[in-house]
Amino acid sequence: MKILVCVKEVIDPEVPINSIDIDSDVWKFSPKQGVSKVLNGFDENAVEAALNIKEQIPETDITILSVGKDFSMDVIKKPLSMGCQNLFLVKDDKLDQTDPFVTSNVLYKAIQKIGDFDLILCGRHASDWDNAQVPIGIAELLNIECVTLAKGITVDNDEIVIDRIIPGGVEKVKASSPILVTVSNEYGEPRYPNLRGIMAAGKIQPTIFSLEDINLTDEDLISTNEIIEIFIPEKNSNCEFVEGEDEYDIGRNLALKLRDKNLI
Amino acid sequence: MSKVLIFNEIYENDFDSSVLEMISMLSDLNIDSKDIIVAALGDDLYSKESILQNIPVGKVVGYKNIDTNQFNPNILMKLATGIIDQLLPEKIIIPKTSVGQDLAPRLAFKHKYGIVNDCLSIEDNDNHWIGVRPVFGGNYLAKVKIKSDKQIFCVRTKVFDEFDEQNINPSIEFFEYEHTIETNTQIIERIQEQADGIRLEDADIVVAGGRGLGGPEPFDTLEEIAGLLNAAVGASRAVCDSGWKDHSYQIGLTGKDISPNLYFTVGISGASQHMAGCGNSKHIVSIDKNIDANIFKDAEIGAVGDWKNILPGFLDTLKDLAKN
Repeated sequence: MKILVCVKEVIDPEVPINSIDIDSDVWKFSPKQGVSKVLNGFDENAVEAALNIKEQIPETDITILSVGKDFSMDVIKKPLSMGCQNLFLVKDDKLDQTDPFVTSNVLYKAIQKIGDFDLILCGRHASDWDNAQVPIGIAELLNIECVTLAKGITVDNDEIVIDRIIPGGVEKVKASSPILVTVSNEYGEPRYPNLRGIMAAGKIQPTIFSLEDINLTDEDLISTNEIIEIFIPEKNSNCEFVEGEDEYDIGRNLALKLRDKNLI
Repeated sequence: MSKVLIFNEIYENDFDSSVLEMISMLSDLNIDSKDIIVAALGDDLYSKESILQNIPVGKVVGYKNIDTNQFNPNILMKLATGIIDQLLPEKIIIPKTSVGQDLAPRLAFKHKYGIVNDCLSIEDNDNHWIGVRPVFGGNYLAKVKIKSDKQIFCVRTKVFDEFDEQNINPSIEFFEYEHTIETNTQIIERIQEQADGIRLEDADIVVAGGRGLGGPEPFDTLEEIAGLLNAAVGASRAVCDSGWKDHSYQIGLTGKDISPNLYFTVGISGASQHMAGCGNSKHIVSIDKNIDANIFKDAEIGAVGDWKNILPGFLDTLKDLAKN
């Protein structure tokens, strides 16, 4: 089975917002010096899903694809150290914070260049712009169907069964190749790379494409949206703190206050 | 102003009420509900005309006799595509329901519409609509303008009040689907989680715990409090990803979206990704050891300290109050 996983480097979503610079001319976010980038967490869930399929079907081949202006090799090679086989990167200065339509176009053209896949996996969304559009865009452009929000994927011969998260439960979706599936954090924690994996990843050289290599035209790079403004939402912050003689007493007073205010 | 199209799911006995929120939002933008067309998506709509009659807009359209295979997105996509081809709307509003959030980007790519996903609101700027949406897990808000005239806005639910004007009844037009619907996906089973007690989304009071609780055991105390308050229990993503609680408890951007009257949190720092799922709570009351925790920016009442000492005082007092 041939699996492709699309991944993205993001600013670590755990860092406080004062670790991020915003360039208000072009509304570009960048991490301050010393603030790390990480692999988008949902993409790691997608990598984990691919690796679990490979454990079940050992001849599975997993290819990782990413696009961007530049990459931190230790971040973008993480899927390889987790156990994936190939890495393709589309690298160009024009690919700096592209909008979802452009990103989908670039990934689509790159996939056409690399070859056919039975299963394409993506994270449910990227934790920076939270758009949740690119995976669906790739599927539309490739003219294949897609199933979003998987918490489980099993492969049985030609049949792929996806446990898809719906409100209040899951639904089982039976699909056939080729199909694109987006993976959610409910899939479960991704594995940590082990030493052998890290050594193996060190030996794999990424294939790097330019925009010309994948036949991308300037028209493919026109964004459909324009960001007018980005701002930090204001909060009132007039929380009333309950006092007490000790912490037990604070708990007591808290309950009494809630009763006073008719909240309980 | 051309007509605005809203997509809306139709269930066995009712329509999804998010359409009423979308109508409210549009009326804030001076769109009269009579100028709105609703595209109904559901099974066998021909037999549900009485439901469609209750949607307070100018017109409702939908396909007559379709089996959507339990709202299979790959089938809904084809139906929605047919409706767009018939009506060629300039502006499309899609409520961010489970179905809507999946459908909106598909339609945008398929029909070459610009899209602003996950809008909290839409602002009118000289007759050009600007979508306001959270980015970076809700730490920032972005105002986004679509360059083309063909626009889709996917709008978060439970932000706007429901439109409640009665006495507006739509004209109804049914379309025939003339092709066979081909898909290589099939929904074979739906499994609803058997939640004990009250559903999180329906609860008037939600008691939730976070990473600060340190393990699964303290949730027993939260369950006890919830029992006394007739509340549901929830959790942060960190708790669910650590396996202390099942993911069905998860509240937040990637979990459940709740809007209870009282949201009572213990050991939840209030990361914006979490607040994305509970920011519409009417009252937030929080216990955390860190007075600088984000949660206190949203909370109206707070208690700072070790929950191990605060909760017993809280629980004992609740029991006393329950006796009186």
